[in-house]
Amino acid sequence: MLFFSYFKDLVGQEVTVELKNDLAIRGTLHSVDQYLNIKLENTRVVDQDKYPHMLSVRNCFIRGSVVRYVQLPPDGVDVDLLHDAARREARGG
Amino acid sequence: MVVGLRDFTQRAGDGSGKPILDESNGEELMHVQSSVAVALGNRTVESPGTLYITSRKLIWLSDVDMAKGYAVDFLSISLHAVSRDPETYSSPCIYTQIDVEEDEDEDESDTESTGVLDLSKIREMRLVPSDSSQLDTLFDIFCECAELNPEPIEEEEEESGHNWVFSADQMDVSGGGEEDADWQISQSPTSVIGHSNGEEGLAQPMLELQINDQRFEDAEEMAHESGTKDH
Amino acid sequence: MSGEEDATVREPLDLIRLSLDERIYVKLRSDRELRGKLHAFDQHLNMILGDVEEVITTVEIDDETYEEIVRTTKRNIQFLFVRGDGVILVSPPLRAP
Repeated sequence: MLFFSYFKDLVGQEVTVELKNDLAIRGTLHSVDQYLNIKLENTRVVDQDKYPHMLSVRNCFIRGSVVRYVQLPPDGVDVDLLHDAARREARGG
Repeated sequence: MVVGLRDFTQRAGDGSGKPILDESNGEELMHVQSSVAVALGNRTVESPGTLYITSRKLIWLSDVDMAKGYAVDFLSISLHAVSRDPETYSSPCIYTQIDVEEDEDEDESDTESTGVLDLSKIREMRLVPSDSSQLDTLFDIFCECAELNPEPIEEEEEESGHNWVFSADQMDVSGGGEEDADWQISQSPTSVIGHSNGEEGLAQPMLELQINDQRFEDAEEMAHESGTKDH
Repeated sequence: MSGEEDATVREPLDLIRLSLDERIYVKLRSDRELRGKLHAFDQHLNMILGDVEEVITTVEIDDETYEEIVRTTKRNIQFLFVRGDGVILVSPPLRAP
């Protein structure tokens, strides 16, 4: 649940979601669910040569299991908070 | 599970032309959108049909050709989006990306050139409703249904009860008995400190321990403390 | 050194817990490797890494000589969430004996 909570707190911030098929989509995080499915708004495709027709979809739902990475905004990462959460999670699991 | 797009021709025989769902396994019809055209990959839009959204999959059935229909599980839909930009696609549509089996890259062009369409290799599908005001509603229903279809849980062993192989590194840590013994040795001679002037023999091993083991630094402090209390 | 840290290692995840705030090495599917500071993880090996260096290794076969041409692409990312299902290997920092 650590990352579900983490991403919920990140709603409204800009992230770049990189998929396992190498597509990278940048957008505002609109919502996330417990499976880490991700909804983005005002999206744009980073590598436009590869997927030109995806240039500007307004909103986008990305299945959690196809995500490889999410690039996080630097001010959206409180490392101390994360360390504590990770330790708590490790204890609980 | 079938990955990717596939033919779907199982229509009810009652003349309604509705798809036959796997109701005994809990598949439910969530939404029906009439007058939806479909475009597979880079191909042209196919004649209008009806889109059936179930709790498991998308089914598109042609209104014209009763033998024509496609289906794709929500599990295979990597992403979906509302596309309204006329520059990217001529008509406002729901854009979907479909997960396909790997090792497809080389064959893709061959399929195109021979004119035989291999549905399992289609990576993109656009659904173009004649009423584009329905796009947001469709998007939301897609989201809802995608969330109904999380990845099947892998057959993992329970969290506890793993028979992990311990490395030598770990053995050190778990072999705490030895460590305790060290502490016993290092702490027991604390009372000796006061007498060390006279009994070099006992103080000597302590000095060596101090050099060899940093942990002893703490013990030494403790020793001083207890020593002070003693006096 | 945080005093409350439970240093016992009962299973591999404990090793990862002890690597929090340290640089680790992560090997991923599709020939990707990451080096970065571990800031968070869960039991699925989802992770957040900081100051990440990603290395992608691709091998191409030369059409004429049939020799393998190995290329590596590097990039740096400040903070990265890594989904655990792509993780093959996690290696804690090397500790001096």
